[in-house]
Amino acid sequence: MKTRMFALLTVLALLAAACGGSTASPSASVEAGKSDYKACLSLDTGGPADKNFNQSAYEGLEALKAEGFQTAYTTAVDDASYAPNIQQLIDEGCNSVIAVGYNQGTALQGAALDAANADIAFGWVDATWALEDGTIPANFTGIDFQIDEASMLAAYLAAGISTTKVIATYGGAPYPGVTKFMDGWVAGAKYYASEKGVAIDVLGWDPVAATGTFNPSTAPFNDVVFGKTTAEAFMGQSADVVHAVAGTTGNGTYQAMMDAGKYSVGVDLDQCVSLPEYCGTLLTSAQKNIGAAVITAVNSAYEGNMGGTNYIGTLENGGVQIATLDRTESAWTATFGTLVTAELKAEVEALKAAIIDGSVNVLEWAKK
Amino acid sequence: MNGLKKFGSKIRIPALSISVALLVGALFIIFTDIEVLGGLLSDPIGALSLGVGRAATAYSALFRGAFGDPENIGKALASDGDTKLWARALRPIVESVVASVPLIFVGLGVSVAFRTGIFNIGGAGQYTMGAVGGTIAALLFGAGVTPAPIAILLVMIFGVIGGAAWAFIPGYLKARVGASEVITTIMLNFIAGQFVFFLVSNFEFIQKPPRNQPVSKELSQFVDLPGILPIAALRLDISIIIALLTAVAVSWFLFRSTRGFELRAAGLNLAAAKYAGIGAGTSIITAMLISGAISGLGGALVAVGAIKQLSPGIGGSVGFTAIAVALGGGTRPSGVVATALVFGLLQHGGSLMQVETSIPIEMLLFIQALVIAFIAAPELTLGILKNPFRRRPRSVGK
Amino acid sequence: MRLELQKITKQFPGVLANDRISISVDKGQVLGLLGENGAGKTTLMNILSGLYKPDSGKILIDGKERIFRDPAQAIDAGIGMVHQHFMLVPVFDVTESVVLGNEPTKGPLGSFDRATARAQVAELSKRHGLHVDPDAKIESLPVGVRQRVEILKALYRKSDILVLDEPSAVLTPQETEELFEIIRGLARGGTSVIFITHKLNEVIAVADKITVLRRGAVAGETIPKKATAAKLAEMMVGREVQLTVSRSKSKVAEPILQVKGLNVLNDAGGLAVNSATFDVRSGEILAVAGVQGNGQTELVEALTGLRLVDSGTVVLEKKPLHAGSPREIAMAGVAHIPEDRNRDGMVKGMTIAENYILNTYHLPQFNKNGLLNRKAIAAATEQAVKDFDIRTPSISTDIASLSGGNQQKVIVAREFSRNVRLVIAAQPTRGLDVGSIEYIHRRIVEQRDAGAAVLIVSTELDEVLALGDRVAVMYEGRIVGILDAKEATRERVGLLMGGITK
Repeated sequence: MKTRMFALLTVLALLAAACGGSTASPSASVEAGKSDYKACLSLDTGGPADKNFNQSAYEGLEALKAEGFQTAYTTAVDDASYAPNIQQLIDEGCNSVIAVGYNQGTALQGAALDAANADIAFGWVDATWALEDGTIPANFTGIDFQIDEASMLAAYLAAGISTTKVIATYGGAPYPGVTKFMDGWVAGAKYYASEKGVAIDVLGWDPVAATGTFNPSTAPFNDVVFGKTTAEAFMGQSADVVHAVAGTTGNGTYQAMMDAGKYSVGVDLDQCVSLPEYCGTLLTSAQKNIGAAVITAVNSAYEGNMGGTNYIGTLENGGVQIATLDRTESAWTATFGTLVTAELKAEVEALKAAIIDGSVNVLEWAKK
Repeated sequence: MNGLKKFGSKIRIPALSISVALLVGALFIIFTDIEVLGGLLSDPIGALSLGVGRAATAYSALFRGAFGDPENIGKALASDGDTKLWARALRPIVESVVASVPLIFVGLGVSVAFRTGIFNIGGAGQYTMGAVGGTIAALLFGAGVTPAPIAILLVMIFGVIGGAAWAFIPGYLKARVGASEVITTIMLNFIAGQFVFFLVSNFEFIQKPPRNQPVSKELSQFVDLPGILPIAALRLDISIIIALLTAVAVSWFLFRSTRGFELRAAGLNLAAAKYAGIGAGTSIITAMLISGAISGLGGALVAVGAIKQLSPGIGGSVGFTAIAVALGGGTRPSGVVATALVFGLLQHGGSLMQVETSIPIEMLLFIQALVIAFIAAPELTLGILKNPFRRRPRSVGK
Repeated sequence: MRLELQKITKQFPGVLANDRISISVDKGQVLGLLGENGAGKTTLMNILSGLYKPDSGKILIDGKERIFRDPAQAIDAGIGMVHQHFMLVPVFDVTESVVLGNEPTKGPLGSFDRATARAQVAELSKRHGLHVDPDAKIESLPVGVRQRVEILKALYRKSDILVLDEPSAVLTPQETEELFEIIRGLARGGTSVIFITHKLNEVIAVADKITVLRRGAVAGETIPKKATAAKLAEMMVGREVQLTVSRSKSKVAEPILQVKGLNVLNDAGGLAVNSATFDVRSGEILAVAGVQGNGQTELVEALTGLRLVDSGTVVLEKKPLHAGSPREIAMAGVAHIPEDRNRDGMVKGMTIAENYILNTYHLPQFNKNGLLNRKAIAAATEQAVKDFDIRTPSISTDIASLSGGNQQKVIVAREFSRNVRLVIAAQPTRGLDVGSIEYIHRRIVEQRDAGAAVLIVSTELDEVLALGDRVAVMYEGRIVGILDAKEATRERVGLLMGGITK
């Protein structure tokens, strides 16, 4: 009897509240203007805790909230939720809507081109877009990454610790977003060779002929077996550091390299953090700083630059980087504590500065 | 009066299930809130009222996101026909219906199989292959190659063929060699997704330029499904009407046709069906073909209409949610439609809840799961509420 | 121990299952508890075994009131149940099965003391005359012996009151006789026995006292000396019942079904029917007797197209049917009342009307261009409900909610709705009440009198003897004898059922 009354009361209370409308309290304003500006994310199906792109973007949104912006986000349930989710955010008064993931392109482009949304700044994480005449819509910002800069640093580092002086890379599929990593990898190895006068062999990618090792299966980015066998094949050709650019497929590579006591370089985010079990083999990761990109894009739109250009993450603006080498994880320090010398770190820093100031051009080095 | 009573008794369990699920969901919202938990020891009353407040805020958003904001509706009513305001006011309920369309199709599809005693969990794969068929038809026949109505018809036919063909495989394997449809359909779900990946990353004909991402071209440039609402900004197209007609057709088929009679008999009691001369193999294959055809039709219409693109993840959560919809609706077409609408409301309402309160969308999936659990176990629902009209068991053991 | 149940009442929503039932059994007495299905026997026993709590009434043991909250308490109080369906683990041996749940243990770790257990079981079996090999595996034992194991199990738990629920259902007449001997022995040794059955002759044979239940209440009490089967049946049903089927002499004509050298395999691939050869002629009933599991099921399935014929021929009025599908066979004029009506005979979840057309829905009168002709179906079903006195609120009622007797009537009505040349009725009255049995028997005899050939398969000897113009006996897949009604005495048929052909 008691529980029934309780249940009844709770239902009534909830109903009353539901009819009474929103009781959300306005967030404390850090900066007056920002509290009137709503920054929003349309996340893909992974959601805010996917340990990948969505999470990185979401962390950027959290930072924006701390800066004083109003924020909101949606998570897709499946492909059919992209359009309604973006519309939901527009209806909720978002000033800036950033969609994460290539799948949202069609829905996002539709919204950006809708005249009713001309005053909303749209962003697209990890992709750029231009109309047929080559212009970028004025309320649109493509967010892409000059990731070859980071991969070049990672390759330099890899060449430095390699005992066989053979390093390797492979991709999930020959998409531009994938081969860009591999270009940087080759560039870093060649740069190291010319600096040190030591021959470095790179397996898996030839930037000039544009041929290399890719996963022919129908699940190129989700095929740990391919990752494992490819790593074993590379090791058979004496490679001792492998840079897998293939999503989850790379986990197979990390496993194989770890089993053999050899090394790997991660992709997209600091995989030593997202995949701690492989921290002992992950020298570093070529990292896209999606959170930083989201923060930059929103702030830029807030300041009135609605779009019409692409945001390209570089070493210079902090949009790309290699994962920190000042680590405390015991798995990492046990393997790399002595291998990554202070001298090597300093050389990497010098290369980074050279890339930023333009004296080293990644693509030129790749094709040398 | 009698009809009303009958209707009341039919929806009592589902209605109670939804209420109880929302109630349990509210408890979860309250007791997973860090601030509420933190304050529970020092100031239990304050913390609880904070929690109840949060749950109320969340459900308010859920309600407005599902049905529409009364404030916006008021504005629209006062505006004297401002389409923009009306679009804003009606969008939530319209989008809820849009979200329910794939669930209606796949829910109906798997229901036909369930009724025949086949646990077809390949709804996702059949829906995906229907989407493939629809996409190919749109690309081949759309953009003026054939008149628009013909192109739409061909999209539907290709969708039906895609879904039916995909369902035929497990049906045939079960009928001829007894392969468990549970396993074969799950495997085919994966294969369908990978097949789409293969298509949209390898063929210029399909892949969206500049061909650096595994998605198809934008399909609305080829075939545009006509909307059914006078306000263009409300994107409810003819697929909902086709979905409802399909529901009527399924109902007619199951309960009026001799084929449907055979399938139901086989589903309820295969031994008795064999005794009655109904071929088990034919029943299985027929049921799977129809099941796949309906899911495929949905896939084609949703890919071309609401999503406007084909990508590997298109089957996503639809397949499994639709199983819940089918079971929740008692595999009865009317029940499936009703449950799909409820799920559509929850899904679209949930996205506003997430926007306003940052409660993750998973909460809604949780509530959906609870709805099904309570519908499946009415005694549990009634037990929780100690319902005074508790149904009496008609008879007891000997 | 003396057990007394006083005014036990148990109300289920809508049903008064037990209405102030009082029964008692003295130390060393055998109480026969007689009643039809649904009379409240099972509810009463569930109360006694602690599964249900009575709404009112008392359970007294040796004059002291006991309340059982769960089955364990009932067992502790000395009440042992032997269920109709045995609850034994096939791969255990007899000793393990008997002591399961109360194993003797030894050593500090409490490990199973097999030697002691074996000795105890052997001693118990000897003391009560229940001959069982303590080392035999359950799966290797015939049903009658398994039953003994169940009884031993109850005795091992020191039961002073033994409740046997329909114990003879799975036994041959000879095995039943042995069971009676065991019961009498136990009673002499001071055990009280409650013997639940619906078979009139059995209570007369073994009980010291008979209580008859009807519709949840005690309909009467008597002792065997004063009872006759007819009287007991009347008490059970509440009206006078015709126990023997009245039938004229059969007018036997030409053979309708001719079976020659029929071999049929069982699911495991073994020979279930071994070169069966027989005829059934127009106007006669051939009753096939046999203990369950001797190939009767496979024989019927083969004749009706549900199982492949391995070799041999089946001919119905010159038409070969051994390769026919169920539908072809049904359409050729064979009515089939299946052995397991729940499994084969009806589709629960479908209405009475739908079940009535289950194998005729495809005929032109019910099927118009692929759609069901609902009007014609309703009309035909209404007529059948009237003709066969099927008690149901409406024809759109789910068949699952009918009583067993009415369900069987739907099946019989359906099978007799076609032009019938041959009736194959397997266990046509299993689990039915006396009234329904009488009705179904009458309907079958009517078919015979109309010139159909009838093949009845039954494990109930009474049924076989009452209906058969000729009696065939199956043992281990073979037809070990076909007797004319005159020669078919209980003893001769019983011996044949046990495989003894002299």
